[in-house]
Amino acid sequence: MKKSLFNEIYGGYFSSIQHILKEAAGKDLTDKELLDLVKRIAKRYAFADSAVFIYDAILDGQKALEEDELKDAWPFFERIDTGAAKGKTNAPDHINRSTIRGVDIPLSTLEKRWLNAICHDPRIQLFTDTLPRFDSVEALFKYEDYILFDQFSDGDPFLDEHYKAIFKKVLTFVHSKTRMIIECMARNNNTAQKPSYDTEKTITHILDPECIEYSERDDKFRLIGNSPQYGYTIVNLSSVIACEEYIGEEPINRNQEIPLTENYKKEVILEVINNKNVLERMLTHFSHYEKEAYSVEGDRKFHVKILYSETDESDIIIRILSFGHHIKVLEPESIRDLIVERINKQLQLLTER
Amino acid sequence: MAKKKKRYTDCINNIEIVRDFVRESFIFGLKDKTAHDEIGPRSYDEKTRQMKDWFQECMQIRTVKIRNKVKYITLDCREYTYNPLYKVWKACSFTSNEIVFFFFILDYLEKNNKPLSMTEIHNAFWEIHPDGFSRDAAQKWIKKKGCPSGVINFDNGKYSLSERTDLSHFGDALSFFSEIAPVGVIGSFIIDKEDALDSVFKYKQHYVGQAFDHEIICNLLDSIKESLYIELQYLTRDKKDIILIIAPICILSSTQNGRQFLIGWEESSQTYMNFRIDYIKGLTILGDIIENHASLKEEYNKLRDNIWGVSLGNGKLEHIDLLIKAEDNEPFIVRRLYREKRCGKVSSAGDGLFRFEADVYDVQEMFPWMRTFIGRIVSLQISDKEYENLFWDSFFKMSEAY
Repeated sequence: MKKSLFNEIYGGYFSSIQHILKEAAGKDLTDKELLDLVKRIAKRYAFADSAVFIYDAILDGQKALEEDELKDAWPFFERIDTGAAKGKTNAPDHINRSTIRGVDIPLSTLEKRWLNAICHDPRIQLFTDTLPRFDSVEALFKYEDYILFDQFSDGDPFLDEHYKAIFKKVLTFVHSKTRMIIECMARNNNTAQKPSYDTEKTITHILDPECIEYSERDDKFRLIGNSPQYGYTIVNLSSVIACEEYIGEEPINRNQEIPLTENYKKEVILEVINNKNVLERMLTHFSHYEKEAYSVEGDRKFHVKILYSETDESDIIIRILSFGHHIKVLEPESIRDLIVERINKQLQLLTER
Repeated sequence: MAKKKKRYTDCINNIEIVRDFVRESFIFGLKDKTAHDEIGPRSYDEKTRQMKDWFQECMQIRTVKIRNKVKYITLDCREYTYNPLYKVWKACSFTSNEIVFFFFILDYLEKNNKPLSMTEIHNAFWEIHPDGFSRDAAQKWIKKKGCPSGVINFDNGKYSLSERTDLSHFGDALSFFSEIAPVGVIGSFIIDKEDALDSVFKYKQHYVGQAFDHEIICNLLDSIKESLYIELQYLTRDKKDIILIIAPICILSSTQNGRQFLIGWEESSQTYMNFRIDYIKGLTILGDIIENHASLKEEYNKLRDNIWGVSLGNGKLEHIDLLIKAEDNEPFIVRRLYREKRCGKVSSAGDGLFRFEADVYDVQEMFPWMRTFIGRIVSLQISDKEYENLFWDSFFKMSEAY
């Protein structure tokens, strides 16, 4: 039978009510406390205007309980008079108390089957050795049936014990936002050698961790953080030899002008002649970037603006080259010049043949 | 009598009515209200308002002509710890009776801690909410939604809650795999049930738009695992709707261009075909078992040794020999060749030269990758010279354009 993921039990409103009732359990809430709770929960689990809708439905539910008429209301909270005189004291004249205890919605069969499936992913060992298993249901899928056919082959060594230990330590530090001192292998510039790290030469970073970034294409994890000395820093986890909490003097900021975070975006504007569905291929290809497309000539010619971080520039150039004559760089000149340089080098190689 | 205005809601009763519209707004983001011929202006306003409510800061507005605005979705995937497009899967509509009864039954079953009949449950419900769900309506809904989902069990005429699982130690794994594993939106559903899990993971080159196809992927993977035939309703490249019976073999997903494909065996043509997942308009899992499924899969796996991407081309193998020059200060070029070679092989040809060789069914699939070495290609030889000419024609057009 065909599975459906579109079910109100997984919906934003059901999740919101679950958490609202759980947090409200056993508490007497003022109107403000109830509204704040609804806003906070709805913002996380539902949609932009859901808080208003949920709060109105709860208030309608209180009326419904009093008038014994449910209709279209959600009677999850009853209104209880406190006996305090309204307007005469600071105490509220009523409180709101939940009529139902918040109960966790149990896992569905689909969710159990998905959990069973992901427990076969080798990367699960990075997180835990205690796997949730549901023997009454089969795994939803087998990894051998889902192939990432163009993933790079030099991904991180997820099964390596040293790598696993480093990963778990880094994960803990990132959660607690603990300043770390990390020793890494330097990049190996000897073209004949693999792996691409020099085991003899090491670099030390002092880092305030922000997040761990994963690239499915590269199959690598990278630690991203701010170095008090050098600013925005990326560390490949596969290069890390050791990491500990940093307990020491505040490092000197070598250059006060280096930004501590990478939030500066560059832009490239491309012209696309829409032959053979190139526009769709190109827009799908770049869809994980912030972008804007507009027609300059009906269905034939389009301009596409893509915003990217400086660290992604080589990647952007490689991707533009992959489209060959189907797309053309309009701006900035620096990227146009790089493309022209590559074309000229190629023309020269062709004449040398 | 005046027509009653339909009240706006941020929920929908069928994701298919928005799936293509939302995808178009995310991938293309080109059409204003007047350009959407397939839906009326009121429907356009409602859909764009819903998208704004679901995706919030990811929605942008651009004015194309006076008064004409294009409303589209765009985001930098590296800024998010979760996929904001998953919200579309969480916008299923429901009635007040359904949500009230659902949380009542969860609470009541847990409180009593034993299986109960619908009569017992409904009597307790009716005491508190005499104007709510009728017994028959409640039973119908629970059998349609609560029990098939597995959240509520039904056995011997009685209902009970499914067992609880402590996933408090599994938060980081859930955060990660909900973004990376197939059908990750299911992981997002699980996360929503847990107490606030704050993810520390972000993602690079993360094709969040694939979220729209998670249900199709879920059913395809299930049918592959169970060795079941499927009926596909598919939109071809020339915009024709066709229906095919297929033995599904595997899913191929690109980490570099965001496209995903179903590989299936089509009996009448006796060929393996590839289908874009986002062009699948309908899917029915048939009850028939694919008797020779294991051998079809094994045969396809052997073919993969000579497939660069997804295509078998015209079935003829072509040999390609690409000689690349890497300067002394360009070790990254050599690293690229080794890690990106897929079914090819790389060897050193001395003097800063590296040879890439492969035998593939569809050479043109390799052209985008080969183009990334423009400026370093010393020579290119393909067994069918026409393909060599095609590659260099494209290059010369590129050099003319600049």
